[in-house]
Amino acid sequence: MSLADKLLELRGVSKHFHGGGIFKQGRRVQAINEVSLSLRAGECLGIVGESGSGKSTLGRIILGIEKPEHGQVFFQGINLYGQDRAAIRHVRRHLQAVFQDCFSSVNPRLTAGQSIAEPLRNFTRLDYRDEQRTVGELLELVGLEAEDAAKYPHQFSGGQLQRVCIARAISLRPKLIVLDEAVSSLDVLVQAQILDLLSDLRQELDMSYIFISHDLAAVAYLADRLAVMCSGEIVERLDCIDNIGCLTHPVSAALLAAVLPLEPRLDDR
Amino acid sequence: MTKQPLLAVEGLEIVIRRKDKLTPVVRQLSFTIEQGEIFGLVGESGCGKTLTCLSILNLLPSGIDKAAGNIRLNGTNLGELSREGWRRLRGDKVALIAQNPMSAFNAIRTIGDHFTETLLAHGKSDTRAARETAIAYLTRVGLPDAPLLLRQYPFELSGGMLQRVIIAIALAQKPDLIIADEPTTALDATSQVQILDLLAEVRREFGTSILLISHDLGVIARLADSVAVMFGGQIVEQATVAALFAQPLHPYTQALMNARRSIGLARRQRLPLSLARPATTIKTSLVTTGCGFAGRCPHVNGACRLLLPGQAENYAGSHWVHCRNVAGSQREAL
Repeated sequence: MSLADKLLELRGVSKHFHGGGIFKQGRRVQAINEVSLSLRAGECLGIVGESGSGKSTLGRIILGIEKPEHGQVFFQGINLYGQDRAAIRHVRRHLQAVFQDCFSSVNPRLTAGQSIAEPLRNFTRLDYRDEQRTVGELLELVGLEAEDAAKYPHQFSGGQLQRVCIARAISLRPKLIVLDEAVSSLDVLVQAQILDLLSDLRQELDMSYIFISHDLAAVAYLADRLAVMCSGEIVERLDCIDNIGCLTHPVSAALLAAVLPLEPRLDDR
Repeated sequence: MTKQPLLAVEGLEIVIRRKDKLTPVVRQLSFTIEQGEIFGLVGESGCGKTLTCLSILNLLPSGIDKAAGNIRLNGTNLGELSREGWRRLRGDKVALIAQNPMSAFNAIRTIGDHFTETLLAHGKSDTRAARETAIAYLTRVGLPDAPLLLRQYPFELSGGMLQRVIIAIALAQKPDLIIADEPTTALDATSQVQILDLLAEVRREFGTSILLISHDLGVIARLADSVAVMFGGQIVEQATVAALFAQPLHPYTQALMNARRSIGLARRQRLPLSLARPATTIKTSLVTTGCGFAGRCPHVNGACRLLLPGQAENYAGSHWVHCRNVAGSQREAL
């Protein structure tokens, strides 16, 4: 497969942080160690791991906001940390994110409509009326109403605001969305709705996802392929999500065991 | 001989006062918890679960009041307690495990400070004895190197560790009841299982009753003995864990289970989420006529919209449900 077939490719990416405070030299933490992966257009890759395994850092590296020390990140064939600024800006619009905490990922002083319109203003030239129409369409696409554009973030519930964040992420019709724990803070019914929405949107708009989560059940619902992370490395890969029961690494086994079944355990009472 | 329950909540009503307007948020809530029982309260966000448990501790925020109802702990009516009485009760007889362990601690005081403060407030006079108790209980909840831990600050510990510390502090007073309000929601998947297992162990060893609040039926299935499902400020179904999971009767319970099953591992057997996907945005506020769930219920009929759901319908002994149309929803489930 040539570079052009791949939407995203990471080659030997590494990143470390220094622990400790302002005055003391802490120990070196290897957040990401020699990670390579690739993603074809239309695919959804799930990245799972316990907290501290480096999965969110990897997400930030993929988004182009955390420069790795070693290795390269190619998105649509462009090196995201390379020299060609114009080309990077050009592909950046196809790379969007939805984060866990929706309340802190929107500006509380902007209405939902203004938040959604921001990426549109950055990358396209729409007149006011077209912009309003697009915002209304986007809101309807994620299951809200066009009138919700005038509301401020505090007027939404968590699930509704996460929909606003999704609307903002899809406003430029991106090729890839990084979903970093995008459903983890929502309650079960809302989680199911958002996962369904993401699954529908992916088909409708022909997007790829990188779905980062600690919840294997949620990942299994959306992803085609799976990578399990532990201490900054990918310790297990799965090319077909249906074989999810066959995971063998101890970390994967722990994550599998953490999916609570709906059958009560009556034996140990 | 009738055994006296540990906690009895009868006809609890909670209202939000805003100027001269009263908005009911919890209506006619009754349940009992036996000695050594783990009682699960499940429902979506905003259904009144947390307010219910705050009212047991008389910790309702200002502007939200208990309008009616009795709460009895070991036969004592908590409504008659003085300020001093409440102080002795909280943390000693009834302990609270909050949802977010990171915000439950004072950031500039060490774990040891937190421990001794609680122990000294409840009668222990000696700091050294308090320290020894602290080490014993921290070790008991599975935290290594307790003496070091006592000198550490909350930010140095992970969420799972902090939640263990809270459980240790709660246990040190040997409370009769632990109220666990979404104890694992802020934790990652593997520490969630560990904390739940720890709570199960606590119950086995100390015989403590636990009021477990969660939005996740998986958590309830793992830990609880009996369950009440809350919707819009009311209990709509109550049963033992085995009965509820074997045969959920209320359409809302069924919706909750479908949501969980669909997120579950068997992707190819996905159930339609029509119930979990209302056409318009969800409103959980209370309605005064008809069943609160009517707007989202797939089996709704005319009577449901006009009349309040019938009195708790007795269905196979201890399993009861608040629904006019149980037969209809059951057909669907089978």
